[in-house]
Amino acid sequence: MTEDDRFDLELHGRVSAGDRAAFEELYRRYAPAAYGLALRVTAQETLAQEVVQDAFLALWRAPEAYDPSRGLFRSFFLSLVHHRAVDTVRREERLRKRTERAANLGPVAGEDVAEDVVESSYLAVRRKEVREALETLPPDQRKVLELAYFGGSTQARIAQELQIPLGTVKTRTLAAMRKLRQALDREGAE
Amino acid sequence: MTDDHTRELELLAGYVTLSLDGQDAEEADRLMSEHVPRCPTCRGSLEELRETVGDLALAAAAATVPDLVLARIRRGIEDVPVRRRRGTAAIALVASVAALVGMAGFSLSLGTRARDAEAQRGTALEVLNAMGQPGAVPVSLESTTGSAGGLVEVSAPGLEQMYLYGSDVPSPTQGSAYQLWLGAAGSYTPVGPQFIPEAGVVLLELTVDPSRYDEILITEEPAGPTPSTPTPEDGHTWGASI
Repeated sequence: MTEDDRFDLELHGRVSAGDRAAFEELYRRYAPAAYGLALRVTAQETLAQEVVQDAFLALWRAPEAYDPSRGLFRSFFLSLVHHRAVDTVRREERLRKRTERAANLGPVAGEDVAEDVVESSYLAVRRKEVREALETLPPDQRKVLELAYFGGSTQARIAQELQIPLGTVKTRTLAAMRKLRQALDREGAE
Repeated sequence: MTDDHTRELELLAGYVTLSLDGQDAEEADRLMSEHVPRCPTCRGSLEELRETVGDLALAAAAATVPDLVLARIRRGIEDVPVRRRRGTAAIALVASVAALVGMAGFSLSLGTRARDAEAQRGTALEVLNAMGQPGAVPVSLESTTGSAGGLVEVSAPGLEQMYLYGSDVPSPTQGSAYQLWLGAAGSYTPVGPQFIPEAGVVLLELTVDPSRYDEILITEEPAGPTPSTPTPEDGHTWGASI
């Protein structure tokens, strides 16, 4: 756990006690990443803003939803954002249009690139590590993972779209996750 | 369960990326509620997979959030402070659950020991927590057999938990137990273990993604292996759209 992860824990503890200043500090730290993720998944500014708003309000109203024994605050919160974003797009039935756009990691319309965004430096460093780790994945595994995570596609839909067996999608998803973890662990150890 | 856990890990990878549907999603829900809590291998793998998707989120470029978002959040905080303002039904439910926190009697899952008082209080507090989530809506289950007792389901968008709370729930007939089912497009999946109310009280916590289902059903089934579809012939039945 890094110093920044520990600071997140401290802020979360203060938010649990109703500290609004701590809440706004968490907002400052994570809103750009949350909004970037929501934009990537929803491909719509309005929807992405609603996702971010809902996620932060959920954090304020029920901070106990995060259990520090189950991992980093960052992982918890960005997963919450991802879940809400996927729920939103599925509800809006815009899957097909967005999937085509989400198949690569280039910025979508209206989205700023990371370098132009005021963001905690440690997140920027981690972002670089994650992108480098993603680059190490075989293209077929990376494609499946990106369609699932950023495209919000189900595995069945991915199989249909890529014209591969569903079992292959499952195998590639797990393999991609494992390789990504290994690559990130290596990055973290360096 | 496969010997090397490959099938389980593939399901968990799909689960954390929210990319499962159909039978795979149902199997993953069962895995999460029945196998993972008892399997150190799967628990450890699930933790790693969750950490990995947390990192994967950062692969999306950060973006400048319009000021109006923080302004709306601030208004939201002013309008609805922590765990306040809920609908009348929700307030009644919270009051009931809060009263239960100090009680000893809760539903018993068949085949398991009654949970200790601390865990029971924890579950009751989780229900309160779920009620605090934006969009949380309590759904009252209607008895289709004229049975007494009130059952309420609580879930919230983005929360992979569902809670079932009930009071004055009649006991099933001898040799039977209750089973909760979730339905999507007319197809039902058993969720969680069979249970029997204790002193008429039911309080269940289920690990499941409620957003994939549109119906909840509770039937009385012969105690033992759960059938693949609801088979209520006699006995109490409750249901609702969710």
